[in-house]
Formats: sequence, C-alpha cells, structure tokens
Amino acid sequence: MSGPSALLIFIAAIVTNNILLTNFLGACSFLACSRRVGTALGLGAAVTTVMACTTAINWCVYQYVLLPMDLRGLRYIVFIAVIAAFVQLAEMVIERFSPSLYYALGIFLPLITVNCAVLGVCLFMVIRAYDFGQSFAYGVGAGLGWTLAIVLMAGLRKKMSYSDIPGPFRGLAINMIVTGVMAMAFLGFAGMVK
Amino acid sequence: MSDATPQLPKQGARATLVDGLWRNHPVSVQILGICSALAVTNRLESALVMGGALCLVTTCSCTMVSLLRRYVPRRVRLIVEVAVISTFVIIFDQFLKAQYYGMSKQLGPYVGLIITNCIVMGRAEAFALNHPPGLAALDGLANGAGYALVLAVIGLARELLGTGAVMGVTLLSADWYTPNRLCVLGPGAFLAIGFLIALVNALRRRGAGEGEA
Amino acid sequence: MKSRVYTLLFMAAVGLACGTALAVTLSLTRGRIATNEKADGLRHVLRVLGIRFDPAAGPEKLLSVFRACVEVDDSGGAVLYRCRKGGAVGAVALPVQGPGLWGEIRGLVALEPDMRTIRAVSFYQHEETPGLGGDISTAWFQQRFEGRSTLDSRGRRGIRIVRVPGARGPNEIDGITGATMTCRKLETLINEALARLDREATP
Repeated sequence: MSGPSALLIFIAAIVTNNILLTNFLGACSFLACSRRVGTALGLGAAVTTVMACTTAINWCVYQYVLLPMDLRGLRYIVFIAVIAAFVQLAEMVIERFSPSLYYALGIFLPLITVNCAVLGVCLFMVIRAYDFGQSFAYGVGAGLGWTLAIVLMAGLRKKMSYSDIPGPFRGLAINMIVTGVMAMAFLGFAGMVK
Repeated sequence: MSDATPQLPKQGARATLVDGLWRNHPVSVQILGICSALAVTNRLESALVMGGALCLVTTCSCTMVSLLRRYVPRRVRLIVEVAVISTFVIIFDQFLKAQYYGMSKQLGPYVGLIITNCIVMGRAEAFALNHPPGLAALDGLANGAGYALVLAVIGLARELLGTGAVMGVTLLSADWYTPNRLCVLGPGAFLAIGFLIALVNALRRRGAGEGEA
Repeated sequence: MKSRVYTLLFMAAVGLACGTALAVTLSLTRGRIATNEKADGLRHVLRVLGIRFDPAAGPEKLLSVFRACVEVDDSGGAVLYRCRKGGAVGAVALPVQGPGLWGEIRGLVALEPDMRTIRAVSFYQHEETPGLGGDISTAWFQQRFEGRSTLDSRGRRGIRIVRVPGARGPNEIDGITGATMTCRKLETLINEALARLDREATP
C-alpha cells in the first residue's frame, strides 16, 4: 500500500498521532503508575520493547496465518495471546538482568498485557494495512510516544503535589484536565511534517 | 493449601446494583476503563453502542467467570478471564459487523479493545470470582450500565458542544452558536471527563485527597 | 487438591469451549460480513450518481439496485460507473484513490453527462486527522464541489483546492483551514483521476 514512509509513521506516532494523547490508549496504567520519573521511564522502556516486538510478531501471524485461513475475526484473541506470551518472556528477562527494575515496576509489568495501547497498536496496524516496515516503525514510535507522555505526566504530577488543588478536582479529575492540556499542546505538532 | 478462591459473605442484590451505578462507580471511583471512554465519545451514537457493548460483555463475562469460579485453578485465572472476555468480544464484534456494518467501521478497533478494558477484567477478578452467578451478573450489569451512562453523557456533551447537533438533530443552530471544535478532538475528551469527574466528586462531597500525590 | 493435570485439563476444556463458540459465530456471520464489505463502497457510488435508494436498505438490496442502475465500464485502465437509470442518467463517477497525508484516501468524483461539471463527490475512506484533514468526509466540505467545473477559465482540465476563502475561478474550491496538506494531496488525486479519464476518452 502506498502511503506514508516508515520514518513518517515513526515520527507521527510520537507527536501528531501519539497513541495516548490522540488515540486515548494506555491511559489506565499511565495514570496509576506515573508518580516518579524514574519508574515512568522504566515502564515506558518496557512497553516500547513489548510494542515493537509484538507488532512485528503479530504482523507476521496476521499475514501468514490468519489471512490465508480467513480467520481475521480471531485476530483479537490471537494478538492478545502473543502479547501475553511475550510479556511473560520479558518479565523473566527483566527479573534476571535488572532485579531492581523488576521490583520497582511490580504489578505493572504483567499488566502490560492488558495495556490497551499494546493491543491497540496491533489493531491499528491491521486497519491501516501497514506493511512490515511501517508496522515496526509504528510499534517503536507508539511506544516512544507513550513513554514521552508518561514521563511528562510524572514530572507534572510531581509539581502538582505542591499546588493547592480545589477539593473536587483532586485525584483523577485534575490528572485528566492536565492530560487534556498536554493533548492540546501536542495538537500543535499537526502540520509539522510535510 | 486449598486452590479454590475464597467465598465472601453474601451481598444483597440491591446493594450490588447501587454499588455499580453510583457508590463504587467504575470510572469516577475505581478509576478504570478511561481508554475507550474517550475515543468513541465524539458522537453520541457511537458512545451508546460502545456503552451497550461493554455492558453486554461485562455481564456475560462475569456470569461465565462466576459459574466457573469453583473450578478455576488460581494460577491460570487471569488467562481464563481473558479467554472468556475475548470470546464474548469477538462474538459481539462479528455480529456488529454483520448487522450494523457502518457502526462497526466507525468504532474501529475500540470494540476489540474492550478485551483490555480494565473494568471488565477488574470486575471479573474482584467480584465475579467470589460471588454466585446471579450477583455477578447483576454486578456486571450495574458496572456496565454505570459506565455506559458516563459514555452517553460525555458523548452528548461533546457532540452537542462540538458540532451543535446531536444524532442528526441540530439543537444549537449555526446562526448564533459557533461549534467548539476542540470538543470533538482529542483534548476535548480529556477535559470533558476531567470536569465530569470533578462534578461527580463535588456532588458526593468527597474528593479531598482521594489517593492523590 | 488440584494438580497440574487438572489445570491442563481445565485449560483444554476452556480452550475447546471458546473455540467451539467462536467457530460457530464465525461461520454464522461470515457470509453476511462478506456481503456487507462488497456493498459498502456501492452506497457511495449510488449517492454521487443521484440514484435513489433506501438508506436503511440491506446489502443485498443495494447490490440489486446497483446492478440495475449502474453500468460498470472497465474497458479502460480505471473503472468508471455510469448511471443507466434511476438518477442522473449519463453521469459518470470516477474512483479517486491514492495516498493522502496519513494513509490512503478513497473516494468518488461524479461528473455530469457533459463530462465537465462536478455533480457530487464522496471521500469516504481516509486516515486523516479527525477534525482537520478528516473533514474531507463531511457533507459541508463535499458540497463545495457541487456544480464546480473541472476546467479552468482557459479550458484546461484540473481543479484547485485553495485557501479559504479564496475560491474565485470556475474550477476553484475552498479548502479546509488547518488541513492544507490533506487538501493538496486530495487535489492531486482528483486531478490524476481526471487526467486518466481524458487519456482513456481520447481514442
């Protein structure tokens, strides 16, 4: 399919089509986890790796297994199975090589499996009929974009802890509003790519 | 070391219903399922279909998980939950494509993303595993309905303020109302839900440092 | 005391149950979905050619209306849809397809029987930014094309989508503020389709 180049998709996934700020995916773990910049970065790195690898694997599975056998409707269950298996693998690798990160991330690591963004990226790749290169670029870019959003949010929440927020707004409400303002800022990137 | 999940004391049906719809509302209190809440609410129609979908899937999945609760080994319960939820989502998605194709295209991948929706998994894990099928179904229904209600309200607000019309009926005519395009774009969704939650908190006279910082 | 064997058996049973449910569902809906997909694009062809049809009609009805009223001409390189009856008889719809800014844009441009004036357009599939470039699929943007000429004041073929509110010439159309690039891509696609039409028309 002719269309934007892989590089364009990669850049777009970070700024103009940010998976969290534009497509609203991955907000749950984003909101619950983003309290420290360090942890946010670690989680972001893990999510990016998972996204990159699972888009690659799922693309192959879709092209060479699901399409030829006319089982497109099963893609949801197959994709999530691949993601779950991969996250399990990633968990074992992280526990082995960086126990400190493993304990810092805690429950959020296995929860990457049900992170809407990871499944969402695979589904978008199918809808937009990307080829392999485009899909991989999209996976990496989306992961980086999500990481960017979560790191920014962690920093902002740290600052907000010193602010005097009105009662009803404390907690989720102000987080959503701040995310909305961030999304507005990111809208400004539209048109940056020719 | 028993492998069966512990059974909690019985809870009344009415309490379950109220919990889901207000007291323990999935979105504003439990802080769950924000993702799809935002993506499809740019139009009321899609918001309603999505809300209905989630309600249906949650009710069915919770009922099924509850029916299996005495037999599911602890180690694999998450996998079983995902399998059950995925099956129901696929069934719904296929029927939507068959009967209501236009809407299926509009909702895009977001129907499939119900699988990862925290509410469905959350209720299955937190409630359905420990309660009999009748209550589990009711809980699923209540949470789903509460969620659908939020989607409908946000969808109504965004479509009305963003385009001046709702489901084809122009309520705010273009003569005097300039549609606020921001509402149907991304940021509008985040802002809408932020203000809605603040409103709900204010109505509840809570919101003082609820899990913040 | 539940053992590993039990776990495995349980998982197998769950797998089997889910698999059966899914297999049944897929086989039940497969045919209908295929018809839906086939009929999906036809709706737009019928609309731009002014052929009356019931908006709530099912895909089979649409297919039959299409077969009765539209003549598909694929003698040249590209496919043309000519209205036979039931609408603007003699009008021709050209498919418009190609890269937009973020993904493929698909649409139709319908010309009056004089092959010069635009009757209606429909850009029904795209990946453009919602609220900006995405507005090419809205009625208010597509209406701007109606009645415009595809020839400029000197008789050369081609339309131009210009910055709001600058449309002056017979073939100029107001674009969308904030979606200059999408409009530029769209303009290219439409002109390519028109050029193709001319190439195939000249014997």
